[in-house]
Amino acid sequence: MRARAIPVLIILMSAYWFYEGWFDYGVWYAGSPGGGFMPVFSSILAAIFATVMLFKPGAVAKAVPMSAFIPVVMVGFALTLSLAIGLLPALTIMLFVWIWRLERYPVAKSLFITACPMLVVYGVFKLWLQVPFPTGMLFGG
Amino acid sequence: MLDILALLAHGFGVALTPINVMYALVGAMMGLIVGAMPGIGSLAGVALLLPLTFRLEPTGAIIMLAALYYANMYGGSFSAILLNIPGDSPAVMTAVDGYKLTRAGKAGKALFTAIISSAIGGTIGIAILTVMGPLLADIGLHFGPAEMAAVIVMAFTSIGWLLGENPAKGGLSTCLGLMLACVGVDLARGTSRFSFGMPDLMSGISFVPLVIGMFGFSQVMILLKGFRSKQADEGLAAVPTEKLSIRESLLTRAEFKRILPIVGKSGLLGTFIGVLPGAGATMSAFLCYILEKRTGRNGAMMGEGVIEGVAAPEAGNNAAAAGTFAPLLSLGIPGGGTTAVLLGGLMMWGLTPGPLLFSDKPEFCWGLIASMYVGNIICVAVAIAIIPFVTNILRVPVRIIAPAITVVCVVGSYSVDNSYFDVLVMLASGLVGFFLTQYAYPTAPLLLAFVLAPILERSANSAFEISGGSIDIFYESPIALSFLLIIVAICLSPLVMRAIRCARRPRSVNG
Repeated sequence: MRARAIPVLIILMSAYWFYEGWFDYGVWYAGSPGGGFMPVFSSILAAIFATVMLFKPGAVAKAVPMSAFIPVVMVGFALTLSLAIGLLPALTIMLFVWIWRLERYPVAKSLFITACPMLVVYGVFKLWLQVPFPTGMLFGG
Repeated sequence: MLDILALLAHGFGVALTPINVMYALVGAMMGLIVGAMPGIGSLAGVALLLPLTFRLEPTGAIIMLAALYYANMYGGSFSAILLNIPGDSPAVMTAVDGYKLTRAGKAGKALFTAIISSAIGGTIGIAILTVMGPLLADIGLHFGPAEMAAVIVMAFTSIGWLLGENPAKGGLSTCLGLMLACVGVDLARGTSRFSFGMPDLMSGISFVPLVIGMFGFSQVMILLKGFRSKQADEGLAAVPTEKLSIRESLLTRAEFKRILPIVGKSGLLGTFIGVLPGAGATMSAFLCYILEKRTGRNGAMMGEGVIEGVAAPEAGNNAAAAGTFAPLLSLGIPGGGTTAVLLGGLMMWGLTPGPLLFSDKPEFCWGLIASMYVGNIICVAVAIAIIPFVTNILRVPVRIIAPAITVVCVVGSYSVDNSYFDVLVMLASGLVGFFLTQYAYPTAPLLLAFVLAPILERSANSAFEISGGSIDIFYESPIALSFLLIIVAICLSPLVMRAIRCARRPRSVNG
């Protein structure tokens, strides 16, 4: 069943792309392709391939361990925190918490491991490329 | 030919400026490190480095990214030889003999063979690119919109069909890329499509966050899925503990004579495989290994741990990496995922790869080609210099690499437009890339379709406008017609292959 999830989602997506392309953007316009030509063309092909995959899904992938989603959760945590304290401090805290709590390194080693990539990121993106990172509500951003 | 040499000499003038040599050196070092770390690969490496290049001028930026790409081929062999875990897919065949050499106490010899073979194979590839690039560009000058549309569809078909286990999965991935590329401004009427009322989507899905998510962030998820904690530590325990010495790694004259013809042969074959869209460095390494095993003097010994088994795939994959630049620069058609990212980068820097690039921006094209010669020498020097330290690089645990890459993914995608929305695009495309990979859908065709879709749409629109809406334009042109015939042949190839397999299968006793 899980192996069929991707084809089903793509069939739904291509139905929407086809509808919008055909009825809203127009497939043909004054003797040449309209804005809907590419969405309709690609959605028809996608629906055909997805239907093939629906009936012939191939090998079923093994269950995904929850550890694979740690980065998603941690980035979500950092983005939320960044609204208050800014992006770079939030990422620093995220990195430290990840290495210290999840990967179970000692505190001192975790601090050192956190500092190395964050110093590189700060040097390259903040000092060299001068990216204006958000500073967060607490620091007046 | 003299023209080419004069232009190449001009290119060396560009490539040998101190700043460009430094970019090549940085790219080579990062490529070696990224390549040596199992599971990251050139695509993720180039994707993660892309945001750093925005402030550079295009020649320096592409020199750094190209150096990262081909240095990655060198680095990929390190973990293949020492750990039996290829750093990237082109190094899969290197692991077969390379790891056996390591277990026989000849890790240094295997690494040195890989480095020298990569260097010679890569140089053969670059030499052929030097001649073939302008020739392909001359052919490309005869391309009108119909021919351009046909060649792009051919690239989609070959990459979608050739990558992965199942052509339908490749096709689906390509179509998903085309559909995602429809988001944003409609070229026909100038209105915004599929933006769902979100101002951030009016100009389309940003390329860099999509690439970082699909190939960098998803790779972190894959790493954590497979290399978590204790498993990672067990993998690290396999790294040889003794320090390798450069002197003991050097090849003798007899050993060098053994590999030289193999490297020459694999370099030639690899370059031509690299030029074909969809084939790339992995297929090149595989075919060069098979060719040597079937025809080589020591072919029967390959698989048991001989230097020929390292030389053939390494020369082949580096030559292919150089070969992929020929269609990219001269026709604007990338041969695979990494070159598709490079194409996206070129477009962001305001360059349009294609037949006119060689005539309009000669300093860029020839500077890049000359930098590849220089970069190759830099790669050899850096790769040999780090032989004693290579075990230390391999000992950096995934438990540290993964969080650090996650930070780079967030910061890199944010820095494109200083927008949180881009970070969300990165997260979403990371999840999409992860699930596609999980179910064995190749993601490189999606990227290629996403990058080339605007050119396809523009070319198709122009072709139909020229022909007054008639489809005849696609088969009245001999060039477009020949591309269409190739597309049909590629599409039919799985059926033909199946028929051949059925015909070869011995009939059953009853039948």
